[in-house]
Amino acid sequence: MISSDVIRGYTDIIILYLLLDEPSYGYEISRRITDRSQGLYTMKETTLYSAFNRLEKNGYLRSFAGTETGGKTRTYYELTPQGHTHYQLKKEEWMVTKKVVDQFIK
Amino acid sequence: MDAIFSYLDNMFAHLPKTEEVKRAKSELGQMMEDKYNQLRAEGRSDNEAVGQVISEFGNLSELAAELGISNQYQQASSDDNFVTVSDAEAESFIEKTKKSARLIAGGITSVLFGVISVIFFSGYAEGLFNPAVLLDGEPNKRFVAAGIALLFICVAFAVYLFVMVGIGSEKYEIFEKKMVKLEPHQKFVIQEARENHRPLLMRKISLGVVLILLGVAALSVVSILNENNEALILSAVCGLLVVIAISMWLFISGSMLQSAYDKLLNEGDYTLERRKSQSVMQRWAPPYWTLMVVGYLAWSFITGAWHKTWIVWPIAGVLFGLISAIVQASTPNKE
Repeated sequence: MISSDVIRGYTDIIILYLLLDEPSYGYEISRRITDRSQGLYTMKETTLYSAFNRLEKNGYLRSFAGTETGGKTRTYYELTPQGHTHYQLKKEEWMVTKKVVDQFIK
Repeated sequence: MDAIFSYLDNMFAHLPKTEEVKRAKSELGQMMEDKYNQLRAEGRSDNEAVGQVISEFGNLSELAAELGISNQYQQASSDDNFVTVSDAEAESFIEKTKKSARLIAGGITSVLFGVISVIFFSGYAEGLFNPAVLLDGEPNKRFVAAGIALLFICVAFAVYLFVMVGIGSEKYEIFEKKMVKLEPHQKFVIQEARENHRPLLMRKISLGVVLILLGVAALSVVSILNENNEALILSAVCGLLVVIAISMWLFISGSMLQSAYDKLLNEGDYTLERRKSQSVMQRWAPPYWTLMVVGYLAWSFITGAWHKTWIVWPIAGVLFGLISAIVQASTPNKE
């Protein structure tokens, strides 16, 4: 289990990645984070919501009420064009960060 | 499932009802409901699902900036009469309390066992059970000595256990004196734990009371019907002490855990006013009991009547209860 402190700077990139191809809603994103990280990281609900809120305020996400096949109304989030750009920037930032940190790992 | 929504209501209870707060609450509720349903679909029990959802919820202070409520969080943490506590601290405090309860109950059992042996052996030395032990019609001092030696060994072991209680408890002393400021999710979790523990506590207390009453009844019946059979009466006294030891385990393990929850929640005996009267009794208890022990030992050694002096303990216990009740009643309660 990764502590939330370690991964804090990367919650944005995780959420943006999961929205690259299609819009999604809170719980589905949360579940896909746990699944993709093979259970090593579960994002807390408050962390997730706080990120949605922040990303939306910055114009990287847009939210709309959508209905799932089951019929439940949920708040869906989708990436805006700025969001796509932001993802690319964050991706390059991580590449560099990874490269730097790797220099100190043996 | 209802537990999740009452949890959420609880968390948001003291926040201003702005649009942003309402939206956050409904979004968080949606995510929690979805997660709960998913866990149930995977075959988890209601309790397990609720537990996991709540433990993975996070902390509202993370949303403070977004929701414009950051000043509330700062205000709470800068109040001098309050201490804050992390989830891990609260958990380890509860664990330490359980451990302390075992140590204290063990120590008391040990002392009672010492008292039992001293009563039994002094009675035995008097030839109550077997007249053949008498030496020229006098009590056999060797058995008295054996009983006293056992008492001291048991008391020494009890002291060791009581010292162990103190180790590692310093960091929790603050919960005795100060009010605890809990995050809403902590309050919820601890309240749940306390409610879940309550039925067990009630069972422990009633079982303990029934046991003691039975022991007292047995002793009364035996001493009325067999007024002259000292051996039987002495056995009944020892039986009563065994029963008291068992009841002490039940009382102490139950009530210490309960008061640990109360301390964290500032309820029961740990409201602001009660904390003050509590600390009066805490100051007086050690000298009081030390005095009783000294009195008991002095009386017993001077008279040598170990099989009679035990009467000090029930009287001392009742007296202590009485004094506590008076102190508590005379402390103004502003509730």
